[in-house]
Amino acid sequence: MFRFICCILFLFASQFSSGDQASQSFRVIVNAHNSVKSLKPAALSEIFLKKVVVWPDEMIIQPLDLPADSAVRIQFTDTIHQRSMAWIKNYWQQRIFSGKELPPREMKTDEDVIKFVMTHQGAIGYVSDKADLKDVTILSIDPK
Amino acid sequence: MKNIRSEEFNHKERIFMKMKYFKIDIILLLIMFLFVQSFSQKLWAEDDDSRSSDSVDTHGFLGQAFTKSIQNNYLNNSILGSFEFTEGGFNLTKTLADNFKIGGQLFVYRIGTLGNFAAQFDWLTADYFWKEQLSFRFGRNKIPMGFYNEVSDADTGRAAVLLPQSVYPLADRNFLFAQDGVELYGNFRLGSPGRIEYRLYGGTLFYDLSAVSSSSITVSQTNVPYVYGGRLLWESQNSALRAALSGQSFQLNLNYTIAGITSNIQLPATLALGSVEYNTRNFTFTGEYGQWWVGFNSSSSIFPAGSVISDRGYVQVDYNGIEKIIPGIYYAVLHSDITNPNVPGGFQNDVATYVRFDVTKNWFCKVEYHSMNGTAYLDPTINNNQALSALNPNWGILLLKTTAYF
Repeated sequence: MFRFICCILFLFASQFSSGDQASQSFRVIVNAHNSVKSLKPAALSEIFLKKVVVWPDEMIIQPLDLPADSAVRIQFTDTIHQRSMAWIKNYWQQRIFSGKELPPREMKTDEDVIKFVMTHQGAIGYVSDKADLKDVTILSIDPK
Repeated sequence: MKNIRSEEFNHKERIFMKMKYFKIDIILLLIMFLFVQSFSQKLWAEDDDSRSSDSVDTHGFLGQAFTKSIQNNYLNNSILGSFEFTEGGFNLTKTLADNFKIGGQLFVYRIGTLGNFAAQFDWLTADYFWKEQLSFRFGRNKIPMGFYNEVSDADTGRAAVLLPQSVYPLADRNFLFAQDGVELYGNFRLGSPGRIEYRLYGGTLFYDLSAVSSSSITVSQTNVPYVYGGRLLWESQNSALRAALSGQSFQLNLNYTIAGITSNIQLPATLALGSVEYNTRNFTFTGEYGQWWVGFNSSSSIFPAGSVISDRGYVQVDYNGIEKIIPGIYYAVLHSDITNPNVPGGFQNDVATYVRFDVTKNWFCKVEYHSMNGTAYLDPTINNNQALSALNPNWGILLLKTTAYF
């Protein structure tokens, strides 16, 4: 019984430990004409959850996601949202069926994300750090 | 002897009819389930690369539950075990411009005597985004009461089958779920303290007459002259903590006939709810508490004018840390009259434990058990018309539910 209680306490305590120690294996990109060059993780999370929907110049933000089973998306979710994929999925299900909002458009590959960001001024996406990036701006993520 | 035979015949006939409808239901549900499953797979396959700003987004769900209770019937004839718990919805959203979209959701359900598969628009909205601080929705909009009122209909976005019924009662879905009118909403970024979101609405309510009629009372006309309310929500910058205050006020006017005498009654009501939620990486802790004030004025001397204040609340924990499985627990409490909180039939304590298992990315199953103390949730009409105070206060219900969605 004591072991069981210890396990539960350990599991509970582990929820509050910092989870963004893992090295970041993605890059966040925006259109080359976007004046924003840096964002905090919390601000990025609000953008990808569509809680914030316009850039400072009032342009509509168009966030893009990768497929739910993509390793890059899982890491992005863990690092930026600091939530589980199940939480994110439930969040979007609530928004969809209450008629409030649709989730970010889901692109199949890094190349699709880059192509879309290049051609849409309000777009923002994330791609693998190995992706070949040109004609887009890589946002720096300000951890403070 | 004749009476006994007649009763026996009626009993057999009822069982036969029940079996007949049960078979039809199962066949219909299987067809719908297969349709939703195959449609969803097709959509998922196409979704990733075909969605564009000028396309129509479609989503839907179909859920079927089995309920089995001990001591009392709840929602349907659950003591015997019942499949009379079906919900389905289908929505379309068309983005006409970056800042303007329209959409609607058709919803059908049958939960015991409620719903009866009558299709109705759950929401039907034109949404115009003007600026971050002020935007508009017109049409039938889901009512922002607490954190979860807007998602009561679809259980795809939560782990539990039933939301805490003290705060989100299924039987009151007519005046809680959606309003026909206009909504103003906006968002203010506060920097490091987070952001504040407001929602204000006003209009009327679509009201289903069958929801207020019974074998002894016939309601011939309903009218909701007004409904208005709002929600103010604060959220910390990392979305870990959020808190909200919600309020709603409306009046329901009824023309009813009881024992051959027609009268009218006005039911003004004001609902208030405070909500707090704290999210860690894998846990979600939620607590909500509210009070409802309901008055009544009648042209008949049968019902003297008066008012009653009830209170209700719950605390809940969900664990999201296991892939495909979400367990959770909540404790909900209801007092129908706060001046007499512990009178038999006037309170309800509900301890619910549940687990959701996502079988595929568009199909899940849920198991849920409620251990109940009190009878305030119960409906006398499905419990042999016994007064709530006469029903067994210690009872429980098991729910098994499966839902397919896309």
